[in-house]
Amino acid sequence: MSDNPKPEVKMEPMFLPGVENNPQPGPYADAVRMMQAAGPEYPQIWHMFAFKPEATSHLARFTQEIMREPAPLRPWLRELIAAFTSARNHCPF
Amino acid sequence: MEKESAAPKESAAPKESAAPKESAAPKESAAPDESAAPEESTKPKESTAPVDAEAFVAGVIRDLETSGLSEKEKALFRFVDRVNRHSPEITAADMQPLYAVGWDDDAIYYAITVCALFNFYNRWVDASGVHALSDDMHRVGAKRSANIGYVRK
Repeated sequence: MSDNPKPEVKMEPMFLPGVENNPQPGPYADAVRMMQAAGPEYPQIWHMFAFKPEATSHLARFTQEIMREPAPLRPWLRELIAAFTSARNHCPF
Repeated sequence: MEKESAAPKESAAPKESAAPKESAAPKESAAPDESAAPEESTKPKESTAPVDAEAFVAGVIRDLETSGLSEKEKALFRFVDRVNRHSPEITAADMQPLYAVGWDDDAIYYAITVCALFNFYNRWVDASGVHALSDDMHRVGAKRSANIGYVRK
C-alpha cells in the first residue's frame, strides 16, 4: 500500500458521522490523519478512540495490560482467545 | 505450567511481528519452548510445531476439537466458548475441568477477561459501522500491535 500514495478508494463511512468527523486532539486523531495521508485503508476503530480520548486512553491501557503484559497465558494464547471470541461472534476483528 | 509465565520478555509482544492476522499466530514466532513449557512434555505436538500460523488459527476457529491445540488448551477454549455464549449458566462446576488439566484461577481470570473485552470490542465496532480491513491491512495492523502494543502515544 506504500506504493499507492493516492487514496483512490475511500473506505466506507461509519454509521456515525458525528463520531467519524469529530476526532478530538490526541494520538488517535494524529494516527488517523497520518494513515489517511498514506493510503486509502486505515483502522476505522481509531475514530472510536479519537472521539473520546479521555476515556479511550484507559481502554487502550486496559487492553494492553490484559493482552500483552506478563500473565499466565502467553500473549499468543490471549490473542487466539480474542480471535476465537470474535469469530464466534461473527465479527471480523 | 502457568508459572513459566515468568518469561515476560515475549509477552512484551514483539516477536510475533511476523504474525498473521490477529497476531494470534505467535506460537511459532514465539520461541516454542515457552508456549510449550511444562505440560508440553505430555503433548509436544502443538506448541512446538511451527506450522503455518494462519492455518493454525483458522483450524481453531473452524473446529476446536480437531485443531492443533493441546488438550489442556482445548479445555480452556471450551470454557471460553461458554463464557462467550452461555455465561449466565456458568457455575463453579465449570472450573473443575480447567483445574483438572492444570489451569489456575489466574489463568482463568485472563481467559474470561479477554473474552469479555473482545465482546466489548465486537459490539463497539459492529454497531458503529467500523469496517473490517482487507487481509493485507489486517496483517500490517497485527504487526503494528505486536510491535508497539495497543497504546498509542
